[in-house]
Amino acid sequence: MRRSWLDRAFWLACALCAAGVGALLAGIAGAILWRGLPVLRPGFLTAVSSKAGASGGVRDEIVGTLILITTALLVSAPLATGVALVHSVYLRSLPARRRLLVALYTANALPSILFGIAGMVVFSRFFGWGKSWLAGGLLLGLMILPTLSVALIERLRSLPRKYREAASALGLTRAQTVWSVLLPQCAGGLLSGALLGLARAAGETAPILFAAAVFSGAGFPSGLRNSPVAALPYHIFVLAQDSFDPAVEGHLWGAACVLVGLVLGLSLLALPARLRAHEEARNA
Amino acid sequence: MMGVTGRRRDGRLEITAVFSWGFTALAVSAFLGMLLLFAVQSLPVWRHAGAGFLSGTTWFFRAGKFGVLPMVYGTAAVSAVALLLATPPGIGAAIFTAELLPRGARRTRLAVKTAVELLAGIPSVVYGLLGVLLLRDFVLRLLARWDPLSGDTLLTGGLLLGIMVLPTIISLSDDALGGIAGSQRLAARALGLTRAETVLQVILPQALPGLASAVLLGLGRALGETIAVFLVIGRQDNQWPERLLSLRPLTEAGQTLTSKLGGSETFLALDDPLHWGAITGLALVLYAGVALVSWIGARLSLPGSGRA
Amino acid sequence: MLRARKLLLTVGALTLGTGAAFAARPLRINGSTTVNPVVTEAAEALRAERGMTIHVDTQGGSSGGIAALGDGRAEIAMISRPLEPEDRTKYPKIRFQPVQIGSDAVALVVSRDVWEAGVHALSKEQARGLYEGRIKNWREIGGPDRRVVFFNKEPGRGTWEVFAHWLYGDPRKAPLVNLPEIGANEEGRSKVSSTPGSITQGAAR
Repeated sequence: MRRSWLDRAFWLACALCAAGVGALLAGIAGAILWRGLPVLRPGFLTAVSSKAGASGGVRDEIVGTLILITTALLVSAPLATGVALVHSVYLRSLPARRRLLVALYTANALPSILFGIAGMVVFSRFFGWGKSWLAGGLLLGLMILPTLSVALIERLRSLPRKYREAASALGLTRAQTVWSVLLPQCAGGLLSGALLGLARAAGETAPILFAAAVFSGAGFPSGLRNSPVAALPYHIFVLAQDSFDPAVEGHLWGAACVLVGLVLGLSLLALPARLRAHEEARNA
Repeated sequence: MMGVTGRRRDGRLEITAVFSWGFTALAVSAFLGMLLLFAVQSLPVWRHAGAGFLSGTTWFFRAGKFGVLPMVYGTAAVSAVALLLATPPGIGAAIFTAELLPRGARRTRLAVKTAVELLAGIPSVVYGLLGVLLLRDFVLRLLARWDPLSGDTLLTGGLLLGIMVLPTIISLSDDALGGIAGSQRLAARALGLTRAETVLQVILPQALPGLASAVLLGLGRALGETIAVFLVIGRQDNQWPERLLSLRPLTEAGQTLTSKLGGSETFLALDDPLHWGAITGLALVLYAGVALVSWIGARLSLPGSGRA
Repeated sequence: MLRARKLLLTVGALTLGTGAAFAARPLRINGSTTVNPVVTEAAEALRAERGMTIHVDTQGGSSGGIAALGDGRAEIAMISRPLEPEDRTKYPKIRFQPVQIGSDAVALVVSRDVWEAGVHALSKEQARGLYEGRIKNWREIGGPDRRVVFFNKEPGRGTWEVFAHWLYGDPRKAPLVNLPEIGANEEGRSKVSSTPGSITQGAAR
C-alpha cells in the first residue's frame, strides 16, 4: 500500500517538474510576445534605429547579425569538418579519439566573454583592425566550432559500418570514401549542427562587445578595418540598461522579439534532425 | 591502411588528410593560444601581487589593489544557488520524460524535449532583459523581510542562472538516463518493483556518472555566463562575506568574474599594463576554472570503454 | 537636490575636417553617456544630410572616451567632465583639442519616497556622509525610515568625477568606497526608480 503511494507521489513530483519546464517556456515566450509584438510593424524591421534607440527600427542590427553569423558559418564549417574527419577517420586509437572529444566538450563550455577579450587584443589592437565585422565573425566561428564538430562526429558515428566496409571492398581510397560516401551521408548532421551553432552565434553578445559591434551608425560594412556592424544582442544589451524611458521600452521588447524569433527559428529548423539523433542514440 | 600519417599506400600525400589535420591543428592552437594570451598578458599583475592576486579580498584599481577573492566568491555563490535551484527539477523532468511516460506517449515526450531545446536557445541577453524587468521587483519583494539593498542581488543572479542552466541539466540527464540498457528496467519490473523503486534503486545509481556530468556541465555554463549576470547582480566590488557559508550575502549585491570582465573597467584598463594584467588575470582564472569543471564533466559523460 | 555647475565638452584630437574628408573614412565617437543623446542626434542629421559615416558608442564613459581617443580607437571623445592634466600626460602623443558644446548639471537623484518625505536638498556634509556610508538611514537627515542605498557611478564616468570634485576638491582624494555601481545615467534612473530609499549621481535632464 505504502509502496504504491510512494510510486504515485514520485510520478507526480516528476510530472510537475516537466510541467514546470513547459510553463517556464510559455511564460517567457508569452512575456516577450505580449510586449514585443505590438512593436513589430513592418517598418520596425526596415527602419534604422534613431534617437539612441527610442524610435526607429532595427534594420542595421538585423543586417549586422546576419553578416556575423554568415561569416561565422563560413569560417567554422570547413574547420569543423576537418576536426570531425580527424576524429572519425584519421585517428586510429580509441583513447586518442576520446581525448579529442573531451577536448571538444570542454572547449564548447568556455565562457564567451573570453573570446571577446582575446579578440580585442588580437584583432582590435595587434592586427590594428579597430572594430571589425570580420573579427566578430572569426570569434563567433571559433566559438561554435566545437558545436559543429560534435554534431558532425555524432552523425559520422551513427553511419552504419557497412558503408565504410563496402567502400573498402570496392577499393576506394580513404579520400574517396570521405568525399563520396561519408560526407554526403552526413550533410544532414552538418546542417543541423550548423543551424544550432548559428542560433547560438546570433544570440551572443560577449564575443562582439569589444571588437565588432557599435551601438549606432554602422550600416553595411565597407572594408575590413574600422568597419563594425550593429547587432541585435548588443543593441538589446545597451538598451536593457536604460529601461526607464518608456519610449525605449517598447522598442526594446520589439528587438528582443526579433532576436528570439531569429534564434528560435534557426533552432526549430534543426530540431527534427536533433530529436531524431537523440532517439537513435537511445535505441541503439 | 587507415593510418594516421595521411599518406596513401603509394606514399603520396593525401590532400584531405593534410587539410583535416591542418584545420584541427589550427583549431586546437586557437583555443590554447587564448589561454596563453591571457597568461602572458597578465604577467604584470603576477609580478605586482604574486599569489596575493588570488588571495586578495580588495579590488581598487585606482589604488593598484587587485584581489580576486570577492569575485570568485560571487561566481561561486550564484552558481551554487543556480545549481541548487535547477538540479532537482531538472533531473525530475528528465526522469519524467525518460522513465515515467508510458511507451506510447511519444508526443508528450517530444513536447517536453522541444520545450527544453527552445529554452536552451534563448539568448542570454534576453534572459538578462527579463531579469531586469521582471526578476528585480520579484526578489525585492521576496527578500523584503531581510531588508535588501535593491533587487539586484546575488540571489537574483542565482535565480536567473538557475533558469538558464535548467535546459542543459535536463537535456544531459535525459541522455544519461537513456544510456542505461532497457533490460535493467524490464528485470526490475519483472521482480515486482514499482516505477519509483526502479528509478531510484536501479536506474539512478547506474546513471550517476552521467547525471554528475550533467550537473558539472551546467555548472560550467553558470560559471561562464556574463551578460545576464552583469545586468542583475549589482556590480558591487569587495563583497567578501565575514562568514563564508552564511546566507546574508545573497541579499546583497556582488560581483562575479564575468560581470567584472564585461564591465567598463575592461575598456579603461587597456592602456595601463598593470590594470590590464589584472583584467587578463581574471580571464585566466575564469578560463582555468571553467575548463577544469567542464573537463571533469565531459570525462564523466563519455564512458571510458571507448564508445567514442 | 543640489546642483553643481560644470562644463560639458567634446574633445577633438585631430583636425575636424570638412564633411567630404570624412565621407571616405568613418568618424568614430566614443565616451560619455551624458553627451551621447545630443551627439547621436547630431550624427543622424549629418548622416542624412552629408552622407558621412559616423559610429557612436558609449563604452567606458568619459574616461573610456579619452582612452579610446588616446588609443587611436576614436577620433572624437565625448566627455562630461573637464579635461585633466592626467589625461594629457597619459597620452603625450595626442594633441587634445577641447570643444565645448554645452553645459550640463550633475544632480543627486533620489527615489520618490525620499523626496516625498521632505528631503529636497543636501548639504555637502550630508552628501559626504551618505557617500561614505556614515549616514545609514534616511531618518537621520529627515527622510523616511529606510536604509540608504547609494548607487555609485563607476569611477571612470565623467558625472562621477564632477561629483567627486565637488565633494573632495580632487577626484583622486575621494575615499575608496564599496557601493553597487551603475554605468550610464539611464541605468541610474532605472535603478533609483525601482529601489526605495536610493540615491545616485546623475546628469540632470
